[in-house]
Amino acid sequence: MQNQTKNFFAKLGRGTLSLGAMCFLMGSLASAAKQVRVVTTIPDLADLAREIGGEHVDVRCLSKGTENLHSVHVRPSMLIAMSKADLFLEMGLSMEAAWLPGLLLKARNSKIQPGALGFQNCSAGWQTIGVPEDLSRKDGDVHPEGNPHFNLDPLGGPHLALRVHEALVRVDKGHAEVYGKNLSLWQKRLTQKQKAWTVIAERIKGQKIAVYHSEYDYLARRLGLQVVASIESKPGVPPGPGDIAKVVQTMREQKVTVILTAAWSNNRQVADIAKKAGAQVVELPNQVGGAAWAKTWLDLMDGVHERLDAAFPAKQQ
Amino acid sequence: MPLAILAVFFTSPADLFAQRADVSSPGSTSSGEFGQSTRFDNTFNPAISLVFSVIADWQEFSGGSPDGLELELSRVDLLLAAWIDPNAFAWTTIAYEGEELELDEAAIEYVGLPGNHTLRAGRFFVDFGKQMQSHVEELRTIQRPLVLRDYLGEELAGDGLQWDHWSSAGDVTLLRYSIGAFNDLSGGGHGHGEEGVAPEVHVDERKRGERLGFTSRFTSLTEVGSNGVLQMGVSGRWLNDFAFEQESSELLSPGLSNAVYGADLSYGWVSDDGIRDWTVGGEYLVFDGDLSGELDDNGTETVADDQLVVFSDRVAGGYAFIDHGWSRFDSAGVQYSMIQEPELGRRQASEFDLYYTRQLSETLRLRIGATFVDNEDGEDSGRFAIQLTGFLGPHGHGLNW
Repeated sequence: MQNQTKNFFAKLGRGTLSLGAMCFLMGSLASAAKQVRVVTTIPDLADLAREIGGEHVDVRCLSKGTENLHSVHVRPSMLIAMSKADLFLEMGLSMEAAWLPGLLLKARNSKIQPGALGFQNCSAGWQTIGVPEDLSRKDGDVHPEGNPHFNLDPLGGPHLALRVHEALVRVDKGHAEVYGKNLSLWQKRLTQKQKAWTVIAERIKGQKIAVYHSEYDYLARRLGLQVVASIESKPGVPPGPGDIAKVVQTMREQKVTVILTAAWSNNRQVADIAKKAGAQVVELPNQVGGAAWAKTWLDLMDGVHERLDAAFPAKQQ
Repeated sequence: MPLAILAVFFTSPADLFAQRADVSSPGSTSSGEFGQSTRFDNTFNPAISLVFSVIADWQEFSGGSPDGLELELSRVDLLLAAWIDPNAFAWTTIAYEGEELELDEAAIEYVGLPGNHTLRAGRFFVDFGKQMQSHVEELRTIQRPLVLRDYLGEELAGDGLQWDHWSSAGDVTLLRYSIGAFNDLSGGGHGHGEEGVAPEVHVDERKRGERLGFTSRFTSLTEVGSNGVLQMGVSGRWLNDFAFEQESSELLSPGLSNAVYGADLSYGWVSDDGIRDWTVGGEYLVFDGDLSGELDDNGTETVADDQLVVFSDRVAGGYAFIDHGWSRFDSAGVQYSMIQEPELGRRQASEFDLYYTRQLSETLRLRIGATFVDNEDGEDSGRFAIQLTGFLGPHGHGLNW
């Protein structure tokens, strides 16, 4: 009888443990199931989706922060992530045009196709610059809708945050309040940061710079920097010896001391030009994750401002 | 049931036919909008693109063939592509090559099936190995590897249907298979001997189902670390009913069949910044069955005793390559391809390619290549070529990996 009782309690204990484990597992699964599966094209959007979505989102970014966004290498996991996504966030303005349409089509996920609730073009409502007057390849790799690199505009992040918030609320109305709260918190942090950025912008305003590609146009415009030379004479077209000579001459004449360039540009060539023109090269990431210090969009902007500030010491004195 | 179909047909708000009379004529199709605002409206017209390829080459042969320089507009592809409705898109490729204009592809891809199934119908490049879906100007080299040219043809377009499906295994592995049925998959065909004397491949227009040509491919694509992708695949092409035909002698060898089996393996590595990459790969093919035909005139000039000799055999060949890109605009590689000739004796031929590609811009490409052919059965040759390829417009209709 005693043995029977013992066995009963042993079984009960094991059963309770199993039940507990099952409940825990089911609870975890349920929690995971409730998360909105978000896929983004660039790390900036992934960062904002994490900030605003918090624990209610599971975010996957397709590109690496160090990659050239015009030619991302599509890997198997990207298609798998796209096929399971509830929400897809793209920059738009043809930034991802070279690799995204085929991926979207092949994913066969009706929830994130253009026009569906789960598709968000985050450039919607953004005032673009550099819209070509004449759509011809004689002008290089032009973007018909204008320059797409607005994530580097200090006002680009807030715009993207609004689009991300809007999309999250659309696909997950149940957590709209949380998303709104998270957005407000992020905006408060942004406001704090913007004060410091404004001080730096005032300090470096009017400085002349050269660039390799046109990805820093928004940033330069917002900070009042003058882009007086572009090493790529036309976007996407590698410069020839004549172009380089012209850039060096312009930089010398205009007393340009800084060249802004991204990691994926031809930086050996950029260094050579800088040497000839007596300028320094400032390599800036063009998106989140493009450098170890650019872990979030706010970090990215902090770092960009700090590096630009350091690049123009003369005016500080 | 037929009445129901008729009812749907006649109550459909949009007319199903593009060609129609302006006045409703009993018995003919009625007028309607057909989704266009006017019949001369351009809004829904397809995307148009053009690819042109110009080659300047110097070729030298060990035997009696003429050496020398040639400047040639080697190929022009005109591509039209558009969505037909939310579930289907279509494209047409018209190719100009060797002073001939040919309809390379004209196909519809239907993506409205549940799951990740796709159905393709019409004329299109079949799904075999890593290269046969692509037009030659899209390849890494100036021409297709010798083994593919010889066993499958310069291009392998078929008139038929292809069913395709992809799925995933875990988070980083994709699996895909396809099955195709085609009326004609003879590709370049295989007649040997002098031009004009060699037998032509003949395929009946109508045949029983099991005598169609078939293709199949199964492939997996998996990530290796955060920078590498490994692909493995197997493919098959079965040509089940064809004949060798000698028009001048009215000779015919019917009821022939052959198959090509292939296995491919490739690995690609791309640096974090996407600038540098390494790719290595290769494909091994076995060609089995009735492989080629030759006219035997029995040493006389009399046509009456001529006969067609069909070579039935199993031969094998393959190619391997290594390719390195060191900037956004520069890459180079080497490729080696060898075959056993599909004839008695299994004589071998090999081809060695060296190439450098400079992307002058995103839409203009310069390629310099050198090719050396070692042929046990015929002349050895060497070729030095410069190719300029321009891509105008929204080129491409998407390929399966």
